[in-house]
Amino acid sequence: MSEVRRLVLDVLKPHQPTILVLADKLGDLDGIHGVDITLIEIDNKVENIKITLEGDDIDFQDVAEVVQESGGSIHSIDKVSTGKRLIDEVETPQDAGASWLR
Amino acid sequence: MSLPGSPSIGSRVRRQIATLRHYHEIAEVGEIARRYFPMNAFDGVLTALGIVTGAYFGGVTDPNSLVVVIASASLSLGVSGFYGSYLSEQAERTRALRLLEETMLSRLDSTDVGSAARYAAVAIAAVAGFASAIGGLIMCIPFLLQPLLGVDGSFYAAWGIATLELILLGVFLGHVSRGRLVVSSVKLVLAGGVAFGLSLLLNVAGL
Repeated sequence: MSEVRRLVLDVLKPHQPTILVLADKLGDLDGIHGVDITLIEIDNKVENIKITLEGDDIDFQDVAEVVQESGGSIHSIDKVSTGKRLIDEVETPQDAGASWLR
Repeated sequence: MSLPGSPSIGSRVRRQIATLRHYHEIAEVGEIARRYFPMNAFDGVLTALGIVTGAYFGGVTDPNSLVVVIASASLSLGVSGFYGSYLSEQAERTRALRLLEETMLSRLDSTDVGSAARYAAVAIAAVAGFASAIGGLIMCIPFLLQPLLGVDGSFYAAWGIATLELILLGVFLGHVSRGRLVVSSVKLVLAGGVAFGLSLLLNVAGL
């Protein structure tokens, strides 16, 4: 089974603990080299965040545990990259042609 | 000696402290505890001041009786401060947690947010209970030393301690508000003066 190298999650969480604390905890997990958390939307009590993780062997269960311990819930897994090396999404002519729809 | 691979006592204690600090930040305990501390300490000091003043003008000078009365009143205030704060804080925290759960559409009891809410109720109650009891308990010291200080000396020392405690509370509040320390101290000492004056009036009225 190939290792997960990049993971993008859509998460809903309370304001506390802050994304600073959450990023710190995620960064301490084995197999994770980089953490990026972006605030997407903020409400009175909760906030919607996008978590991007990069590493050489990301364990989704460990990540989910940290998010849930912090009171967050994972809405969706928006992107996963696995394999021996990290590759990016390739834009195809169809994507470019359909850009006017976006 | 710890087993290989198992954390030492020191590292476990450090981890516990880090966890509590984490809960402290999540539950924003500091600000609420800062409110409870002077409020309850003020109650404790003024209650003990009332007892001391009433005892002096009422002719009760036996040190053992005074220590028992002041200590009992202070401990009762401490218990009251602890339980009152615990119950009200727990109710508020539980309500806030349930409202958050409704928004999150998930249970939060077993998360850090739930643990922090439970920690906050206990921590704030401990601060409130301690603050209620400590001011009065310190005022017992002069009566324990009555053989050295004499009857009048022990009462003067107790009033002096009460004044000092009120000044320190004023300094604390002035520091919190970043205002003038002298002004906030004078305000609290004046409140002590009012309590003293009322006890004096009761004596003058012959009650």
